[in-house]
Amino acid sequence: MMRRLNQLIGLYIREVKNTYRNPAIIVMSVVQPLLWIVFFGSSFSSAPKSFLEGFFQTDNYIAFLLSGQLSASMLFVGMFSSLSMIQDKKSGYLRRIMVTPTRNYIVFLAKVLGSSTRGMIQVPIVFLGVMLFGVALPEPIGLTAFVVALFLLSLGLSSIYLLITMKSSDWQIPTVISNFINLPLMFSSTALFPKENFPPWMQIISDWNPVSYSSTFGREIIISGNSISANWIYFLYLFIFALALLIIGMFVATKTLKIE
Amino acid sequence: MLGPNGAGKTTIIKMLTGLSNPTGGKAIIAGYNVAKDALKVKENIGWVSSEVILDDSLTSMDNIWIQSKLHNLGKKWKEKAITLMKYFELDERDDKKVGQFSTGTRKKLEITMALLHEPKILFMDEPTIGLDANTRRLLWNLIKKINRLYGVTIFLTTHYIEEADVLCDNLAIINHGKIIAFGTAQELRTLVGGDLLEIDFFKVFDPAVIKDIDGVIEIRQEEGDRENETKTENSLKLFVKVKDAETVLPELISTVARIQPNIVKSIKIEKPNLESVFLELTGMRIVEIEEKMDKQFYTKARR
Repeated sequence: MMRRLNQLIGLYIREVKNTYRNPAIIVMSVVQPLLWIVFFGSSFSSAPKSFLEGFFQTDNYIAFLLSGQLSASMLFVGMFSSLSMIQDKKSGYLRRIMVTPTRNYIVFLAKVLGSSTRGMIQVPIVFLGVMLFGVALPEPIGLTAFVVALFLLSLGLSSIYLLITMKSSDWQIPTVISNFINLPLMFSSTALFPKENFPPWMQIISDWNPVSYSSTFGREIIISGNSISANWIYFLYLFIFALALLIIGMFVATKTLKIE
Repeated sequence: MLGPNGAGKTTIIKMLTGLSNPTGGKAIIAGYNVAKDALKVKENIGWVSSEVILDDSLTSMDNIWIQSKLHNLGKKWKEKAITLMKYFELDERDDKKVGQFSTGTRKKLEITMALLHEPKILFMDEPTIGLDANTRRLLWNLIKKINRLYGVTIFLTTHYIEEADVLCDNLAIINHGKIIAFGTAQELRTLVGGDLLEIDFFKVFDPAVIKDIDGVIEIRQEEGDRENETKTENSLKLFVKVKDAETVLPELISTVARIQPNIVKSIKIEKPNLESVFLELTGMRIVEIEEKMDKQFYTKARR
């Protein structure tokens, strides 16, 4: 057990260190969601308060958008896990790992945890940024619960991306899949708008969309300022989503992860 | 393990290091079956790749630390690493990213990582491929020292005959996925059983006229893909195995000259060596097989 933990730590730290390889990328990946929130969020700044309160349950659309945008950005973070795996396949580093007594699922877990950690880097910066626009930080338990929910979402989404590229070394696949599934998943979730005005078929998709779980859960915490009024069933769904995909991913990695 | 590119050397290393499953047969490495106990095999082996594989964005110590974690080395990893790095004349305080190192230094670092967990067997897959002559010789000395000092068995693949001759106590020659000879270099040389004359003629003639010369053991015409050869139609190349080249050659030349004067273009004498062993066993030189495979590859690619 200790051996496996050490292997996971070694590979995970490598993933994290590689995240800081290029500071410019870090800056851009942190600033990009903040810009999204500021520009897109400000689009309703002149809307009547009554409309905002009726439609978004808050008079500050940025407060509404915050959890949705952070959740949606986890979709793009998921892509990093598969890009990192393809990089290791292409460079031969995966072979270096696989001639050591490291089980395939440890490689999978390290990649998923690494990319999810990368996704979390933006969270404190974005929170600090939106405070300038009048969004108050929720109480610590609520804030922690939302961050954990985002992490669970990221674990699940990174697992999906890795599963798709487990047997492939084609750089194009993660990008194509990202373009194919990220936007539909974002727009069919409650990340940008409440689902009450969706057509019925889109509401069904939204109800099964993990981005909705994280967006709604986080939004309830941010708008109310605490975790008491949040619907914890979404947190449970996210936990099941992450756990199920991690288990499937570990199993598939054990069976199919191979060097070329 | 000596053989041309495409002979199956890397495939064998993949199987022996537990990276791919053999389709048949059984291989035991350090006492463990590679198909059933791959993880145990991996605990006991080190691996050095043909193209240096490191995380170029990390420092040498970062790379070594990750390797130590993968082998669960505990707190003593740094002590071991520093000892090995000093031995290989690497600076443990160098905090440059390894991508900035020279190929030779990167190779040394890779060997350090491969020896960190004190493996019983070290696999080196064409370790000197792509290196310049100086670095190659440096690495040869290093490999000999590792073998002597650490007592680790080294399983090395190469397509360089000189390298196999210089480094290996035991040699297996592989071609088309099959081991065709095994033994020490000295034992393999005895397989040839004489000197080899490689003679190019300007004109074709009947080789039977030289077969009765005293000391001639065997005559073979050059093999190969006739369609793709660039020779003129009238030229001829013979491989003549003789007991002793210096004794046989004068009579051979005068016999040929009596029948057709001035047709000898060039003569190459080859004393028994691994090149002639390979030629004896396969009918082609390593370089010829590789050229033939390259031609086939490009022909396929053009289609």
